[in-house]
Amino acid sequence: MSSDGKRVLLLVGSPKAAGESASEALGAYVIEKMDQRGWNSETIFIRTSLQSDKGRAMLLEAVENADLIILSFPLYVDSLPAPVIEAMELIFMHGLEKEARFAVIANCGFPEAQHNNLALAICRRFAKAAGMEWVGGLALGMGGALSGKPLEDQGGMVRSVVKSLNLAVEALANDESIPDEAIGLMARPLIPAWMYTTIGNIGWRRQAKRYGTRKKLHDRPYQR
Amino acid sequence: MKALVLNGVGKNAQHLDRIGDIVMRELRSLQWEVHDLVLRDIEIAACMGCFGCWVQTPGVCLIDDDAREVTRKIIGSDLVVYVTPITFGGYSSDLKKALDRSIGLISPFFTRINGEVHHRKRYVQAAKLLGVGIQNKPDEESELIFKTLIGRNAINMHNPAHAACVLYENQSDPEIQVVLQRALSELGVTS
Repeated sequence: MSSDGKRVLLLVGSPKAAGESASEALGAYVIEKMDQRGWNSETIFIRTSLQSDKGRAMLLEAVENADLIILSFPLYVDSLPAPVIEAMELIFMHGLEKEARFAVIANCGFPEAQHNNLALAICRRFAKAAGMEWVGGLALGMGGALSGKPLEDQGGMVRSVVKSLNLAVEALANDESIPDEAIGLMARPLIPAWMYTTIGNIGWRRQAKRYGTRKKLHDRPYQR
Repeated sequence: MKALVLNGVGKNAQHLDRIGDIVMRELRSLQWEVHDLVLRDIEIAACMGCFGCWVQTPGVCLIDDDAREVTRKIIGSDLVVYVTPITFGGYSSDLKKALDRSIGLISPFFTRINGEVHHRKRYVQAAKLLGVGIQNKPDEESELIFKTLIGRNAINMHNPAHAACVLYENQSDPEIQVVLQRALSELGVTS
């Protein structure tokens, strides 16, 4: 199917620098595949764009011009990171003239993908309020196992993630919603949950050792 | 007993501050010591997602701004009240900014709660949590998301009890008081 020069906008919701977040890696994979299908793509890092009037204006312009918007973000305290909510408030207040399609990719640091469900519900509600067409959301658990590297360089562990994104791209490029199969594949654990939490707990200690804080990890600095 | 009211009303909706005022009045009428923070008026940068508050300076965010004091006040309270316009079902960005910066209150280490993985406690006792969501008109879907979000936050932040209520902009003060009194009673917040 011809893309007819359609525009896809990736909004990266992680506050981390470019090249450092799983959110960017997941979104960038989709964007690369859409580019290969002849779509015109643009990527905006939300946190950076909100730091100036010019950035906010560029964000709004990109949203207005997009036919398809993909938001990729990490779960923060059961919801979206504050800058992403701020961007949603900004877009809603501004109002949109045309109905773009809106899809999201959420990832969380817990093993279970279901922790993302509320954040997806918030995104769906935002799409409705802002006059966008909700075309589905993918939710990934064990996001802490991913890095900011391109997904192709992250090994066999991300096999089901890649399969999921390929299915999602196929659907989105054809103006369809993300299929259930893609949602199921994305929610599949990357490794057994016990292994993820064990590695995670070891990882916190290892990082603390680097900072010389291993014995302080359980400190209560604000104990009354 | 100490209560902290986190006012997450944004600068474009300051007429909603009256609801935070009513919350404080109700708590004071129960002889509680009440502090409030109008989050839009204080300096809170967005969380950088660096986990420095877990591994580099455990329990304290690396960014030195007002969020540190907000975090100290949260754990120093017996009750924390989130007052927020319900924003697509969730919290306003002003409130969320403060909450994103408060994860140093829990431990990075994992544990299981009700069969799900969450983070362990850092402090022995967290405050009770009351969510006060404000809507301009009834919206069942958003209200359900909001109430569920308060419940999920209570699990993750280890609040020993939680309740959520939804108020409407056009409600009168007495109507608002009735809803708040019910929610406070549900939490066991008495004089």
